[in-house]
Amino acid sequence: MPSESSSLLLLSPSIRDWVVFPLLIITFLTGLLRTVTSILLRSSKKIPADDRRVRGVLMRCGRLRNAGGFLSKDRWEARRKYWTNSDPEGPLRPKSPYLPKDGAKAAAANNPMANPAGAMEGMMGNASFMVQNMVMMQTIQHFFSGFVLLKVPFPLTKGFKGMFQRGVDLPTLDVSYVSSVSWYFLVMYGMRGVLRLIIGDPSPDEKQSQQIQSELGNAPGVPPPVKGKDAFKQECDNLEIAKYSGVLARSEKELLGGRYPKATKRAGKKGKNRGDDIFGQMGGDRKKGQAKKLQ
Amino acid sequence: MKPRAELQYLRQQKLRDPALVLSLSLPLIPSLSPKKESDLAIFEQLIVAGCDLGEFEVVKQCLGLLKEQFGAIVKTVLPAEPGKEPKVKVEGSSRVGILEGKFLEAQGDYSGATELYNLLLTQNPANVLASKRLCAIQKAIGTPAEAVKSLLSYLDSNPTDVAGWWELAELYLSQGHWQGAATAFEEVVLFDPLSHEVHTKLGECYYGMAASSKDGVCKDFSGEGMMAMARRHFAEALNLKRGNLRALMGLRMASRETALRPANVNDKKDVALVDGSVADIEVAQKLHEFACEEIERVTKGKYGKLGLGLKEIGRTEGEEILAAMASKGE
Repeated sequence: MPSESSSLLLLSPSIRDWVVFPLLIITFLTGLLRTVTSILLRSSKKIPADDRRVRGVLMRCGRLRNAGGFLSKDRWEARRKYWTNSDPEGPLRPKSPYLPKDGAKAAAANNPMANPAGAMEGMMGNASFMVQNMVMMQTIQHFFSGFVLLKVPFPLTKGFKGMFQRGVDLPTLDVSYVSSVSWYFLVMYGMRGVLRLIIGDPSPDEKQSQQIQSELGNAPGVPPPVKGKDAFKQECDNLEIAKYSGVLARSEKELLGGRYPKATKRAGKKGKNRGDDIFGQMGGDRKKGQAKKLQ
Repeated sequence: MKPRAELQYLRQQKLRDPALVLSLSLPLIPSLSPKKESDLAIFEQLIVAGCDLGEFEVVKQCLGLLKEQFGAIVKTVLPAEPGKEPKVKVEGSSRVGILEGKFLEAQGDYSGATELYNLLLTQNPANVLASKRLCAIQKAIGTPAEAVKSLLSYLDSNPTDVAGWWELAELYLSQGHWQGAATAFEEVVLFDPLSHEVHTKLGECYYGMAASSKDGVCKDFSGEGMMAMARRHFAEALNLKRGNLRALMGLRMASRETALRPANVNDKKDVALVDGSVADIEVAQKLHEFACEEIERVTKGKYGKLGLGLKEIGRTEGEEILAAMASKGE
């Protein structure tokens, strides 16, 4: 107890009025500014058609692996054979017709360094955030460094010291005191929800408009192109080792529930040799059925 | 503001009621301006509705305003370098371009619309709307085979468009091409396995394949017969939505084929086992029974008074089954 009382600090009300609240307001306003600038900086780009096609093919293969159980085994196998055709011009092989025709251009697109405009695009959004953050932190460290602004009303472990007391290196200071830079960070990350409340989600009209734009082949941010050949090779490997597991066979059982016919020995009666192993399986199934009844 | 709110509702719910849209938006025209962002959606709605109803004067007027504001699709041929093909540069708003294309289509100028959509595609090859419209034109003026061809080339570059696969399947169905339809519906199932509609459709395709083959046990895909697959898809559809009448009818018909077949002990397919324990034919009989009862139950409330006689059909089917079982000596 003595250690706690000794670390009790009296914070001046002026700190509250001239540091805590101003920081809160400044952070809020810069957050607003940032959202607005990000909307202004957002530019509409053409979606590369080749890339979309490659993605679509990959998605189809992925669906075949994930939802393939809804097809019958033969149909599934036929599709798998088509995709994993080992011919060099097979759909997932290096000379696939699904890959962009001009290899040189594709290679350039795959290498972000060869396309500085594309790299810039991604940086623009982050840059505004970083610039603002750096300026704010410099300002705060310049004006308010070393301030202890407030005390959170609950005890915290030592681990939070770095998070709550950045810029104040006092080993004996209780962890529940918050320094100015830390206050800025806490507010900045906590502000997102508030900002979303104030700015609001995009209106349905805006959403619809965005959807039409994407159908027209424009999108605000174009994801970096997939490396077609590599992705195809991996997908091909995945498909080659994929195993069929039918999920449709149970649908009749599920539908009929208790009415589903019980296992019979009928099949075992014919062709003794062939029936025996089936009979063995049947025995297992019957036991299962009995166990169910007991439950 | 009230008509605007109503128009917005129609837009958001994607309801296509051109008469209502026109009656709501025509009085608004004098107050609409293409410079106001909030009015653009109304212009679009108005133009499409006008095309639907053949109100070409209004459409022309609105399109003119939009073109003035955003620029119509213009083709300029750049001076060709020696030995190379001249490059074509297309400028203008693609969104207005699509509207203009729809206007041309509505007037029946399909060649003009095709040209315009092709221009849009040279401007941006990823323009899905333009390539969809091209398919629609093919469907409107071309033979079914041409429509299928254009849809296939569309799906080749947009393989994840589920609605496109569905459309392809319907096109195949309209030509009685069960196998093509089944393949396309399978693609839809892969993308949307929890939709009971597509399971019903796929079941119908398999049933069609099986029923149109010689004896109803088309086994050109080794292993499970098509009829059993049809049954399973109908069953899956019913698992996803109880009382799906179409699936129930399908299930009844598909299971009947197997259930009513006189069991032949020497025939391999009659001792074919499901899950290694239950005979296929028994499952089919139970399913048939179930389907008949369910149809009776579902239709009793809804259609019973209409006297469609489904109940009687169900009864006779059941009696048939009983008779078949009796003749088998079970």
